[in-house]
Order: sequence, then C-alpha cells, then structure tokens
Amino acid sequence: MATKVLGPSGLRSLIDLLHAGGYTVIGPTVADGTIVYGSIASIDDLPIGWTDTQEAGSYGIERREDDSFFAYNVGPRSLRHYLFPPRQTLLTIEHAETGLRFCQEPPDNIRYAFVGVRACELAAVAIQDAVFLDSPHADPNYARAREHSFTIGVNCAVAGGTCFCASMGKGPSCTAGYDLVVTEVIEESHHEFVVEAGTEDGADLLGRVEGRQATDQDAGVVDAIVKETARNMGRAMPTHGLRDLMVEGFDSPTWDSVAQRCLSCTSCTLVCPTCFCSTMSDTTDLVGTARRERTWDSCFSLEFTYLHGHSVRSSTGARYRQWITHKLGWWHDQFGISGCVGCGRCITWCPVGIDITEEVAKLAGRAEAIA
Amino acid sequence: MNLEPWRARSPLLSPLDDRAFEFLESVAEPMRLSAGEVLFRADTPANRFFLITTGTIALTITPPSEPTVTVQTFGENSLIGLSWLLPPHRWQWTARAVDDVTLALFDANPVLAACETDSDLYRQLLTVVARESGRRLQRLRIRFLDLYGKDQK
Amino acid sequence: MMLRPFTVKSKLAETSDTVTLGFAAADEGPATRFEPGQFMMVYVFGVGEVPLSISGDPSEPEVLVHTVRDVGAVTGAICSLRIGDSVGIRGPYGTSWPVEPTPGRDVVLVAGGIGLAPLRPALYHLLANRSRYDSVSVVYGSRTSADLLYREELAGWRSRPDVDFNITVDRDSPDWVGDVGMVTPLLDRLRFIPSNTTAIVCGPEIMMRVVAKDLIERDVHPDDIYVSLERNFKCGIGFCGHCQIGPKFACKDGPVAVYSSVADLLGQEEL
Repeated sequence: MATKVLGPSGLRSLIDLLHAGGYTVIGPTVADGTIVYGSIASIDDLPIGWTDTQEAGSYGIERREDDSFFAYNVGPRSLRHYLFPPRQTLLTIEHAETGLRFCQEPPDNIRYAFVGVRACELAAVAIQDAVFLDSPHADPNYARAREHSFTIGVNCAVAGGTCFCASMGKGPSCTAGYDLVVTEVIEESHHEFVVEAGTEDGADLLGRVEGRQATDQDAGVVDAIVKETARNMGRAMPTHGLRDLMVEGFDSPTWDSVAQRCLSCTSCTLVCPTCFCSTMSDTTDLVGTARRERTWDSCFSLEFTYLHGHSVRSSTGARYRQWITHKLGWWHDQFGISGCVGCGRCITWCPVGIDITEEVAKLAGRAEAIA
Repeated sequence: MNLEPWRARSPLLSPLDDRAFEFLESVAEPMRLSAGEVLFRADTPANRFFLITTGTIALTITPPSEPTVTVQTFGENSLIGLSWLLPPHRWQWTARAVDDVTLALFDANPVLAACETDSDLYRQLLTVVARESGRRLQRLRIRFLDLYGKDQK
Repeated sequence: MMLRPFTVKSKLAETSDTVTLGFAAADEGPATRFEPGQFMMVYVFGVGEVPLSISGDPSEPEVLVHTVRDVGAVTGAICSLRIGDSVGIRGPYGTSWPVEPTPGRDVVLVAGGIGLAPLRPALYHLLANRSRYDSVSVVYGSRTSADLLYREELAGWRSRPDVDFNITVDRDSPDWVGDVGMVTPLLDRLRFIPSNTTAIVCGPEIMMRVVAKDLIERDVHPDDIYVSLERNFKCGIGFCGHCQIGPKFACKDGPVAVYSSVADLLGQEEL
C-alpha cells in the first residue's frame, strides 16, 4: 500500500478532506483535564503540545516542550463510545386503542472518521466486531456504524505508565483495522508524519494530499520509534497460560484480597474498550409511548445477575473474579481470543489503583507456589 | 423364590455376590397385599424385610384427629424395611399398600442366624442397609430444601 | 430485537400463583415456529420484559402458549393479563431438547415444579411421534398436589399405555393418592436401558444436578443427559452478558445444554 510523508499542513488537509467527505471527525482533544475522544473540527483541536501521565489510580495532562500531535496515550473514552453508544434507543412502543405498536428506531446516519486511534484500540474494535457481528443476530446499529466509518490509526511514539499492549501482542504498532496509519516523527529540524494506507479508501484519500514519497529511511525511522515505545511499556501482563490460570484460579484467595480494595464502582468496565455488557430499560411517557433504551451495564453491579430475588454474584470478590476471568479466560472459549488488549485504562481509572497485571501476577505466583 | 428379574435394578440385590444372592433367594417367599392393607406397624418388632416386585408401599404416620400422612412411597425394585438388621429391631413407621402390591418377603430370623456365623454375608447386608440409609438421607436433605417452593429455586 | 404485537387469547389458572396463557399474533406475520425447549421474550407495556419458555405444542405454532409463575413484577403483570390484552413478544431463542426421533432409543423426562412447562412441548412431540422411540417415561415432582400443573392433561397422559408417567409430591395431603418423595427413587421402577437412554431434565438447578448424578450412577452417559440453564436473560441473543455461566451464554448456548458440558459450572458458588 502507498506510504507518504506529510507535514503538519498535509495532515490538516487530510482532516479537512474527511469533513468535506461528510464524515463526523472524532479524535483526541483536550477536555476536562483529560485527553479524550471528541469532535475535531480541524487539526487545531488535537492536543498539540500536550501529553498525559498515567499511573495506577492517577491521570494528569501536562505541556510538552515540543508541538507534537500524538505524544500521549489513550484517554478514558474508547471507540465503543461511538460504535456501541452508552445509551441508545432501540424501539419506541405506542399503546394504541388497537393494541401495541412497535417501531424500530431508525439508525442515525452519522459516518464517523476516527483520527488518532491507537493499536490497542484497533485491536479492541476487532474484538467487539466478533461480539456484535459474528452472530445470527448481528447488531444492526453497530454493523452500520462500522461499515461507514473511516479510521486513521497512530503508531505510539511514547508509552504510558499503565500501558501493556506489547505483552498482549496488540501494539504499539498498528497492524490491521485502519484505513491510514500515522507515525509522528518529530526532530529539531523537522516535524513529519509518515502515513501508510491500509485500504483502497485510505490510499485514495492519501493520494489527494500534498506530501513526499516515503523512503526506506522513513520506514527505518518508524520501525525504530515503535521498538523504542515497546521497550518503554509501563507494565507487562504475564500471559503464559493465562486462560487456564484464570479458569483454574476460581478458588484463589486473590479474589478476596481484591475485594478488600475494590469499590464495585464499575469504572474499569466503563473505560474498558472491549466490555460489551448492556441492559435494556423501558421508559413510558404520559401520552402512552414507551422508549426502549439499551445502556451499558457492568458485571460489577449487584443487579447484574439478579435471579429469583437474589443475585448469583453477591460478593465483590465474585464480581471482580467474573470480570477478569471472563476478560482473560472465558473470552478465549467464547470468541477464540483474549478480551484484553493491554490499553491500561482499567488500571489508570480505578479509583483505588487495582492493577490487573499485578493481580494476574499474584494469581500466577500463588498457582506456582502450590504446584 | 426366583429373584433374578429384580437382581440388576434392586438396591437390595444388585450389590450382593452370587452366594449371598442365592441365600436370599432361598429365604424369599412371595407375598401379596391389597390396596390399603398394612404391611407392618410402627413400634412392633421388625423381623422381616421386603423387595417390592409390583405396586407401591407408603411409609405413614397418623397424627391425632388428622388423616394418616405419607412421608415417603416406594415402588418396584425398592427395599422395604431397614430396621430388622440392627437393634432395637422395631419398625419406625407404618407401611401400607397404596395399590395392589406383590413382594418378596424375607424372614429376618434365618438371615440374622446365618450372619452370626457368616461374617461375609453380614458385611454385604450391612453394606446394603447402610447404603440405602445413606441414599434416603441424601434425598431427604434435598426435600428439606423445598426446591419447588416460591423463593427457593 | 424487534417485538411483535400479540393478544391474549386464552387464560387458565393452573395453581394459586401460576397461569397458562395463549397468545396469538396481532399482526399479519407468520406463525412462530419453535423447537421444544426454546423461549420467547415477553414484554408488558410499562412494566418490562422477561424470558418465558414455550409450553405449547410445537405442531400448533399459531398460538404461543406460556405457563407463568408469579415471582416478580413482570411475571406478576403477565399473570394478571386478561383475554384481549396486548403484549409484545420476540423470539424464539435458544437451544432445544433433543427430541429428534431416534428409533430404538429410550427417552426419560424428569420434571420438577414449574420445570414441567418447558418440557411439555417435548412431551407433545414425543407423543405425536410415539412409534419412533422405544420406551417413553416421565417422572414429575411437585411440592404438593395443589401445585400440579396441567391437571386434565396429566390424567390423560397417565392413562396412556405407551407412556410410563409417574408423579410424586414432596409433601402428602389428604387429597393426594400417589407417590411421596423425591423424583430420583422413582427412576428405580422405570424400564429403560441406561446405555440407550436420552434423559431430559428440567427443574430447579439443584434438582437437575441431583437427578443427573443419579442417572449417571445408573450408567446413563453424561452426554445423553440434557438440562436447562437459568440465569438473568436481558437480551436473549447473547449480547447483554447478564446470563454468563463461565464460558456459556445461558441464553444462546442454552437454555438446553448437555449435562457433560455444564457439569463443572453448575453448583459453583457465585460463578
């Protein structure tokens, strides 16, 4: 596929062309003290010159000394916010004289262009594709949003404190799932973006912006950047035999130890880019119309497993165990892959700093001690 | 009495070796009860035991001024009577025929007499009674959960 | 996810807290063909939606029959529906009982409590194709005689010479003439060849586990025993995540599951 090297103005043109093509452009932007996905009117809305600092239970943003565009990591929102929105109306139900009338909510016609999407995020979208599309009841809203979206990936040039995508084999370089992928090269003498097309659509768009042809030297620079990022990963997941470790660790004291700290606040499941659980609720207005909405739900809530007046998973330890054994264990049985991409969001955004990599290491350590 | 047709499925007969089985066959006598007839009464000497060959037997108790209550029923292939083997050798419940019943009756006296000198036979019969008691206890515990009750699913 | 409008056509009180309702489609759509064991999602306007197993005859798909026990807000509202009332229904969803005729094979059905309702379509199917199985036996356990479902049909089934239909109650009552005790001892008197038997078990989870273990002790193969999974179903199609039991989505990998595939999952505390 075509590869070109653009300057900041070339990147500006890319985003302008997406707008002109009717896309709603979503990308990283500074809001509420975070670098988070939001609407991007132009390149100027990107967090130029900003970076983030992430650790277990802490997040902050600060100024950099350069004008880099992509020198930070993932924020609390993931693409599922757009592809599988937190709140979505599925049906309206009218209570007429003649009986009930059901009306499927028409899909919104937004075509999203996602800019600045990290490798872990692309991997997460692929995982959600397996959930929502590989089914006899494929979700029509998700399918539509995916079909009409355009994606510009970014190879990470910095690694965050809670990142562990390298150990999960999901980053830091984008390998699939993008129309274009950008690597930012910032040096004293120049500021460039090496852009490679992943699809015909991507190549077509890239052909319409000013830039120079990429050389082998550019490819070498890109390679060096992602290798350096991989070396600087803040964390690593012990992935050896992970599925079996999870399934066999059902009775481990690790869960009780986590339960001492876990607040069951659901943050990890809300920031996780692959969590797909939802619930449905019907709200009725005064004139006799009900609206059925699907909202994100979390396995950390007590009501989640409500059955005959009780909850199957009534303790916090059991709910944490469910989340992590599903994500890292049962997911393999259900979808043939791990449900974790190593983005580190659950670590950063846990208010008490519970670290999934650390808990897995403890579980592995205990299993080893017993063996 | 030929007990071969019941041997494979009966909790009484299936665990026995050939020698013990043949011994019980030599003791067994056929018996008949009509619906409603009493097989044995609570608090009387337990000196027999039975294999149901057709029909149903109920273990019952009668509260004052109320109808008789059945606590458990037993059908074909069931062993009736566990109290004959161990002291105090008295029936705990009253056994009645629910419908027309045929049984194999075993007189406990020759069986216990044989057990005096045949420790292997005694061990086999003790095992049968202990296992059957255990199974009944497990089933009773499950019934105690009231599984089909409204809030207990 | 799309609901269809249905109208209540029939209503029969089974017990003090359980009713059987018949629903007919109120639109022009096709009849709801289903396999025995499948379930529908039933929606009551302004109250909510619940999964209900189908308890009607699969050869009569024009009317959807559900037997419902009043155990919560939505099931309570469904039990209170009157003839002519309108509801929304979607489905059928989930896996089905293995009732494909297999000549020369024995079939044993074991039902506990309301668990008879999801088994009834299987029984209808077995009886309609009776000559294509070897023996057909049923054991139905109920709390008391007052809790028995489908009384009129029970009498008919019990009088059939080609079905060995047994009923037992947990607690005796003056009006009850019949067996008292758990369902498992009744298995002693059924005539089936264990190695040649398909067992279909539906009832409270604990009861199904006990029955499955008992059947295995009698040499019925764990791959030939089928049970029904029950969890919190919200979507019914494997998306919402609520019904997961280990690797299984109870709504789409179940409700009917081979015992051998779920034996390790049932009975795990807080799984």
